[in-house]
Amino acid sequence: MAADSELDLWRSAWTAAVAVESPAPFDVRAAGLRQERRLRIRYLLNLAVAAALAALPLWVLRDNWRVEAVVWAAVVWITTLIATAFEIWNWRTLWRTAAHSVTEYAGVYEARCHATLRAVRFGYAFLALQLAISLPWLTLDLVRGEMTAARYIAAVIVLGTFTAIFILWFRVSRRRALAELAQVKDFLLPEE
Amino acid sequence: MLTADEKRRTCAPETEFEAVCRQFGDSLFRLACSYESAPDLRDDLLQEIRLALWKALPGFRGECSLRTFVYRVAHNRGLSHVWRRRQHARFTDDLPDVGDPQPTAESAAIGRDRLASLMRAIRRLPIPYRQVITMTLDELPQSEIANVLGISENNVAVRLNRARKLLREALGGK
Repeated sequence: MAADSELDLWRSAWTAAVAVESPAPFDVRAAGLRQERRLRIRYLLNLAVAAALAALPLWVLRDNWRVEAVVWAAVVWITTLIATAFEIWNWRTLWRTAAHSVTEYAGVYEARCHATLRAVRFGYAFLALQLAISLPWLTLDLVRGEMTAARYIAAVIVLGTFTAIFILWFRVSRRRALAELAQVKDFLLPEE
Repeated sequence: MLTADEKRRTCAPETEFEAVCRQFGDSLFRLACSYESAPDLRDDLLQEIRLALWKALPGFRGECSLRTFVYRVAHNRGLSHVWRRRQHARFTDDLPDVGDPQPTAESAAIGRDRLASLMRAIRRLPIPYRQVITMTLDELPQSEIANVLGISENNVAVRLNRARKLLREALGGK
């Protein structure tokens, strides 16, 4: 058999092998876009809630200028301002211009995972602050006789329910962010 | 009617990595087959090669052709795979030889005995010969193979001759 025809014969057999399976590696670009969409929606909802919270005291105060109501309004405004300032600072990466390379996508993706974890930590602290303000306030109202026992219990139940929902949400967000972070870190592992 | 792949391409611009995977997908698959016979480990190796390419591509400065670059990265990854497998085999002592005599998934899927025999024979070659013959079969010129492996063209020619001789013997030729 001539040497070249031998090589051609092998080559024809060799090139007949084509990729029958093509498992795609972790597509950080698609994952980054999904993450960005989800976080932007959440961000805008948070700002909408913050706007509603800022407007609520105005509505309450329009025919109630008691000192207690003004203090309550001030507390709501201050805490909302703190939360919103944190929100804007923490999620500044959300509005970063679109990344072009896969490495940039991975970097932004990782930064947003860390931002989610920061937001969860802030959320726990903020929740603790809210409870530290709300519970004594409600109890004080009860002691002063400005609130019936039934209303107090109802208020505590509502507060407890919201607290449980927030804690659940924080746990889910944290778990998700950690999973995403592990995924991207595994992806970015340096060469062995 | 657009296919799913066409829709994806119209929705998002193709990245350099995706273009490389598309352009060299079959070659990389064959290269992975030459280093690993077990289908699941071969898929792992293919995945590792792709990840290595994904990480390496941003650093590609065009100092050689893209094909040379891709083959270099892929062969390096293939070598690491063989090295790891040998290290592992030392401890487990139960892994089959790299040239697995059993019919493999790729041969079953493609259904060509000739390809299966060729693959097995190639996998039994010493690695330096294996690298040269697989790139030759992928129609890389000797100068480019020399570039990928960092050896001289003369050395490539010598290895190719030896590889062909061994392959011929393994396939039952003279």
